[in-house]
Amino acid sequence: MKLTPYITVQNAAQAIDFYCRAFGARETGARFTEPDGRIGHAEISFGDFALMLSDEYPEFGAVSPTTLGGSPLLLHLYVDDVDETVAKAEALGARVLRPPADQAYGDRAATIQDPFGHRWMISTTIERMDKETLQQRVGDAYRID
Amino acid sequence: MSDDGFTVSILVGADPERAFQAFTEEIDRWWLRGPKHRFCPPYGEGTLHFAGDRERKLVEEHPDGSSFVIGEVLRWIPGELLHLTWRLPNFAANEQTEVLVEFAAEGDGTRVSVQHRGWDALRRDHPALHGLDRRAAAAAKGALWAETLTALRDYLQGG
Repeated sequence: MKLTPYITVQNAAQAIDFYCRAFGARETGARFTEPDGRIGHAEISFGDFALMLSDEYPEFGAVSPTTLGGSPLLLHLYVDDVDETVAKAEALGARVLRPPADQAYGDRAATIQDPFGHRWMISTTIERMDKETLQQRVGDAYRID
Repeated sequence: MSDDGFTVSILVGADPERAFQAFTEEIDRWWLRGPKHRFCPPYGEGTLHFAGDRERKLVEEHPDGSSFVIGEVLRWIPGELLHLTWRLPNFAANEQTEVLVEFAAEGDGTRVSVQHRGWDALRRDHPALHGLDRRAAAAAKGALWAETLTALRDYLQGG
């Protein structure tokens, strides 16, 4: 099986440009553009992982976080340097919801909202640890199975 | 000619001149084979090429010596655009569509864009539309072009 997120945005062309410039994604699939300029389908890749996206098609129930006033979806992206990626995204219009901070589980992570309303958790692994160490770190707050 | 279809585009890792050269001079090397992509039986054994110098045509030639003219070139600007008429074997003599292929530098590669126009000028029960409504037919033709352009991209990456 294979899962590919498919997101809806207002102004997909600008969103593709943002994801490529801020996150280092590459447009890899064919792009379908309607005569009215709406992008009906596009595909970008983060390494080996694809993300599909389109403009809004309210006539088919496809609406964006901008229209909905928020999104229940959180996309999680691992990068080499979370601080650099978040700074770049912020400079390109993203809102930092949670700045980069070291986490007990070994990642340095941040949460941002991109200019199109989608939320991203951006992480860099800074330390690998076994289950026992992780359980000691988080204490009684969570049980690590 | 009406503007009734999707524009399908893809980024290829070559400059516009090289992308145009591959699309035209090397079309038979990368254009997908089989009945979904080629025009006349025996699908895949015919060869596609642009014939002629002044009045160029896109032709599929077959091992038995027969040939099928897919389209006549209307504009040929290396590294920029290719505009041609486009017919399928089930078109009547007075029926045709048009294909506009544009090559534009983008980043360190080229965006190759295809507009295939004129489907809505065909009668509603035309066999080329496979019984689909206008939007579904445009989407199906677009999906076919997406496969074609992906083959071009892969050919340019490999070559």
